[in-house]
Amino acid sequence: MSYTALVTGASGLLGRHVVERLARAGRVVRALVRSEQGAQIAREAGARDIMVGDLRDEGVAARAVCGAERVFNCAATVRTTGSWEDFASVNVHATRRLLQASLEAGAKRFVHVSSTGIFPLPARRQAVTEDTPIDPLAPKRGHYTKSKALADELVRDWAARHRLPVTLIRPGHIFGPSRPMFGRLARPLKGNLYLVLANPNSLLGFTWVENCADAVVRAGEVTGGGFACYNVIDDEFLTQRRFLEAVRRVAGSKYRFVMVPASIFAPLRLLPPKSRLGNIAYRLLRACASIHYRTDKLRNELNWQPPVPLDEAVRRMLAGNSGPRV
Amino acid sequence: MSASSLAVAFVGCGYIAETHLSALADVPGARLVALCDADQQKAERLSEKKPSVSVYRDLDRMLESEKPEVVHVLTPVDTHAQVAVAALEAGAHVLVEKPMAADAASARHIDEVARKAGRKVCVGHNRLFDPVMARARSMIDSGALGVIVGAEAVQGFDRTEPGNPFENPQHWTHRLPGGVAQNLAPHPAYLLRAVVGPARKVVVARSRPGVIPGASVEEYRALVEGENALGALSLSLAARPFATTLTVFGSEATLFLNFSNQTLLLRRPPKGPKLVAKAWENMDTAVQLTMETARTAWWVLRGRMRLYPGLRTLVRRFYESLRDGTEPPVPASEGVEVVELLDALWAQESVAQPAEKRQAG
Repeated sequence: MSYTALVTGASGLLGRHVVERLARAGRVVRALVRSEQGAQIAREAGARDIMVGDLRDEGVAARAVCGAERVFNCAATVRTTGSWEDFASVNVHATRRLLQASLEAGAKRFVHVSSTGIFPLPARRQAVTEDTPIDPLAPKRGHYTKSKALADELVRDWAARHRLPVTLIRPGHIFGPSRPMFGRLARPLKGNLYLVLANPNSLLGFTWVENCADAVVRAGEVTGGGFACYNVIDDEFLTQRRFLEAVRRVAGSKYRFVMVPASIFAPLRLLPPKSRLGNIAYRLLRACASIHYRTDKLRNELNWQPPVPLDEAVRRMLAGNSGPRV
Repeated sequence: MSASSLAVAFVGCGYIAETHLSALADVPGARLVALCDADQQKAERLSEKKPSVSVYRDLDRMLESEKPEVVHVLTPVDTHAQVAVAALEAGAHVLVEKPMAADAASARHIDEVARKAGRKVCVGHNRLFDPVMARARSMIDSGALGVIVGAEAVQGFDRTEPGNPFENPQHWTHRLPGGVAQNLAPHPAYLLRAVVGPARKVVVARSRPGVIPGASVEEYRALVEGENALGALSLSLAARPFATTLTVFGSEATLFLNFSNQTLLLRRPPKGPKLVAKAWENMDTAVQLTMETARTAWWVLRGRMRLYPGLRTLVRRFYESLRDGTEPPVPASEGVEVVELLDALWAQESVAQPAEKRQAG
């Protein structure tokens, strides 16, 4: 089965791995990138057809999807700063333009990469499934979360209104070879000494970029069917302690960690959630909270298992590359 | 599409579209499916309040792909006719913002196309449905004012508001035959029509005191011979504070409506001996204004007074009329009559010209 797949954000962390997996499976990959530098990355990942363009520009979406059977929307503005316009124009409006163009071009499936960041902090011991309603206060959780929540809503409603088969992928925290990530709130202090703000038993909700890309590609290759939505986490029960143990197994004592339990922030829960301070506190609490995301839907329906095991993922992360190309 | 839920599209995504969007959210039988604006970014910005909608910059493509059952025409006035006609011909009912069209011929054309297509047109004469107007109507209907002998509608303009059309030479209102005034004049015109009936004769006077640089005419006055009573229309770009009022003169009492603060004042013949009566009149006014202010404040505090309250009611009633197969709250014929009156305001050969010349001389 060979078909043309459009990958947007093809030079991004996730996008380039989606390109690579599709190319490896023999698909004709059209990569949409915004710069020559991005084009080079996509070419190296195996894209056959490179299109340099910005989805915010008139007609780019239509040209990009023309002839593409499946569309993988991996483009997103992922930053901590920037204006609302920056986030909305890419994460929301470009997504809509691409959906509209895909519908008109008769694409067979549209995969949109959303985020688990749009879920609210669940009540104690409650797991987050694909059916958990998104955070009603998401619009107040910063431009990124607001834009991803709007896009998620847009894609779901769109799927309900139109005949375009759509899959929503909601990855947890994607870690890749670009820089070492030792926890959800982990910062280098000095050299290889890191501060990690987390309880040792906190669930991390991590997914290695190649494993996530594998889920994205699997989701996109489903034939028939309508709307589907999947959370993507490599190991639902991976805790902070087990992750750091893996780092130790791979790198010995090269990295050292100062663990500060996130419980110290617990009193912040008392702040009224709708207030300005409460909102800041909520975002901090959420960033280091232990949240259990269920992924059995992805495993059962798409028969997905993370192809790269934890230790290997950590090894590749620390080596700064995603392993041998096949 | 199911009869219980109408697919709605907005054409024009500027300032007023936001109010239409929030008004539509309160209508159970309507769902917004598409936003269309020649400036796609405007439509995209509005879509953030309702992300599921489709966004278009091309009207024909939107009509063809989305096949909306209702189209709200919220574009600049000089494009109303073109957009409304396209929507009607595509089989949609139309809610068109005020004024219905840039000139009476275009307004009549919309009406004709609607009749041929068997579709309904409703015109956004929003203040007819403001709470203060609803209260006034019920008082008039109850006969409290006696015989209605006349009305006076006043419309001002807030030239201090940042971003007003005189600060922006590119603003679309400058393209209209009546310029900036044409976007304001519909309000006093339809309010007057509601009281004195359709105009049979109009006499117009215009002047330019020179307060607003760039305005060719700043003041308009029109005397209207309505089917039921006489009316006076004042449109002032220069006077301050800017006012939006309607006075209804009856044989027994006079009603004064202030739309900007939703205040209603009933002026009754004074009681008692002459000296007391003079004081009573002012005291009665003071008491009424105090009560009215408290009433409006109470509504605002309870969150019941929102911007453009009349537009919300108008939108709801329009959808009720579609559901029930009844006449829209402001039918096309009313829209045409109002545009005919407006045309007289800008007409070059208006009766007012000689008077203006005499004044100048």
